[in-house]
Amino acid sequence: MWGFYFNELMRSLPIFLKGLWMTVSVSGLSLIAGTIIGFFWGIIRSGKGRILRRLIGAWVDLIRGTPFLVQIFVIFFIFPEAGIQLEAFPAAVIALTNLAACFICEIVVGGIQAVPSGQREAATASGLSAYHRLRYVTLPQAMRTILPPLVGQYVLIIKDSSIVSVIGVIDVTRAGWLTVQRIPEGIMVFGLVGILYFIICYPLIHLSSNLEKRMTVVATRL
Amino acid sequence: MGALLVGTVACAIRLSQSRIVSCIAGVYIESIRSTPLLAQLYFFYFGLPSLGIMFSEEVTGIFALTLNSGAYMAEIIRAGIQSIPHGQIEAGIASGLNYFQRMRYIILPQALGVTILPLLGQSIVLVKDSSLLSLISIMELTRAGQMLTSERFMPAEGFLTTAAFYLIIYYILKGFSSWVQKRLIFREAY
Repeated sequence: MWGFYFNELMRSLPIFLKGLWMTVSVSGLSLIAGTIIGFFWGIIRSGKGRILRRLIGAWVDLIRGTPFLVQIFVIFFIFPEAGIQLEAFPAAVIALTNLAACFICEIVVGGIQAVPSGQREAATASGLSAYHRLRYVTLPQAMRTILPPLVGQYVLIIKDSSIVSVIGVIDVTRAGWLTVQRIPEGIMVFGLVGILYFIICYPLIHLSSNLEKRMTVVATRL
Repeated sequence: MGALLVGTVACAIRLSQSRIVSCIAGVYIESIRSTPLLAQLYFFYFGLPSLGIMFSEEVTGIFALTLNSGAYMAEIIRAGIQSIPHGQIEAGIASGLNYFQRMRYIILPQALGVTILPLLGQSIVLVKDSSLLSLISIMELTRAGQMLTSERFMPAEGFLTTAAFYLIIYYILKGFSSWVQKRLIFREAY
């Protein structure tokens, strides 16, 4: 019986590969957009404008405080009531981008705060403009604190992308869910799903811990 | 709570001298950490019956959530234990304490100070992750929102209420965590 199911599973492998591509594209798009927006928000949030700072802070708290599943339901089910009808794919990318941006914003704020304020004062004293201060003094030093958790966050986002399967985006998880209706061998089907995610995430987890080690070495050497 | 127990045990095993046992715990932790919870949930939900093990949805859900959270907590506790200076352990051995006494009286109390904040953070994640249980038809907060949507066609009310409840839990945990943080700083300064 196992052999038969295994052959069946191998025959439906193309669905899984298509799902894998969907997972990669949804999380890839969201990661790129989320990183850009997250850095932008993080820089604003550690800047001077008080209203903007509060606004972004409240938004980040709101997103971090509610489960991603609820957020995706809000976008997919409530937005149509307001007249914004979204396909599953854009809805998934928007929700995931927003989530990524919020978490990355928090990481960026932490990184910028870790830079000693003397650095910024010295830059101001040298007559650098706000943009140059950020570009040449603060950000390069903050990157050392930002990079390891950033890669770790990427792993979390890729894993969270499995949740978009519930609104009908056919990613790896959804492919597994569809297959298990035909092949009642859950361990095998979701074992395969697990392996596919493992292939993406495991190298990233290692990259993150490697970066962490290397960055601390650099910090002590200085 | 169960997750904390699993985490501590898995971590103790991971750090044990025996290479094979430590390797098994390592495989458990790594495989949980690099696959999404939803896939794990489906794995147990669809997988256990095919092995002939029938649990109710609640038991399956709690089981999966415990295993998932346990792996993350094991990593946090491991970092905490490894942050303790090696001299402490050696002093414990020199005083003639056995492994469990060393863990109980010397290492864990000190590690707690380092691990308590990440552990609280993990419990916030756990509360949010529990929303996924609604997908295997366990009646919890998110499911309640879904029911309201499908039965009375009120998605806005349903999901916004759900979100509000999660926010309340989040702020309580976050407040608790910053209270603990203040107390920790105070103790260190003292």
